Amino acid sequence: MIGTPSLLKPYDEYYSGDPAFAQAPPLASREQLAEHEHRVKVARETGDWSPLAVEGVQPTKFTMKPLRGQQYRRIVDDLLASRIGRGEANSLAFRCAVLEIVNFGAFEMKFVETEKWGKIASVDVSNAIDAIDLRIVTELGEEALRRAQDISPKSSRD
Amino acid sequence: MQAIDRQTRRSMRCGYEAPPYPPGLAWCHPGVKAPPGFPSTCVGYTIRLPQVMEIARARRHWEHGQLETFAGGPVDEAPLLLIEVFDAAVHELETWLMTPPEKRT
Repeated sequence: MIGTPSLLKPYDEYYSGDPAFAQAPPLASREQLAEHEHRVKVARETGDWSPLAVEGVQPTKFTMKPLRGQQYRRIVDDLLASRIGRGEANSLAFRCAVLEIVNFGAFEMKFVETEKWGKIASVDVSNAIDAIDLRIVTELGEEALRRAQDISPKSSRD
Repeated sequence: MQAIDRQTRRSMRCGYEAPPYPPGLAWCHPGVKAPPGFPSTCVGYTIRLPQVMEIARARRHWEHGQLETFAGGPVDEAPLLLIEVFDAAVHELETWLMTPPEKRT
């Protein structure tokens, strides 16, 4: 079951640097990088990653839920008050949003109940992903925050 | 879409084409009073986005007080705001359609 991008329900998300997706060529020019970034943006908006898919390689799938307004505001408040840095904000957003990870080896999701954020993924989850590549949580956390703040993607982003 | 050449698609601000786009805006229905800088992307691309279709579907349920059933739980304020924006645009278009052509602005 594919979970298309959603504002109301859980959806599927992918890390753009996953080896299952085509990458910008090494020593890419600025134009080539911009072109590649645009292809990733389109894949994320449409939920169709097939134009970037590398044949025979399965990507790691992250099932995420939209951040609640309260979670988003608390992250932004903590960030603006310098209680947390940008990196931790992304990690928190990721942990608040992630529900399931598929095709990530022998990995088991763990959740913790917190007073401030509600039920969120344990820090062990983000640590396990960080052990592979720190950019995964950063990108997916940033994306979760962007979805929560950018309610009109076709009028303000481009 | 593929039948249209790349340059034309770029001038239409097709979402599949990478910016920078030629100067100007994407097409907008004459019945919509669009805010400055809007629409930034071709409507053909925009209306096929899953989140746009979702809000259009959600409005149908919202109108009948069934939004939470459709969403499977409480709905946050951000999607609610989008439904209201969408609803306002629909009413704007309906008003335009009901206006005699000679009186349309």
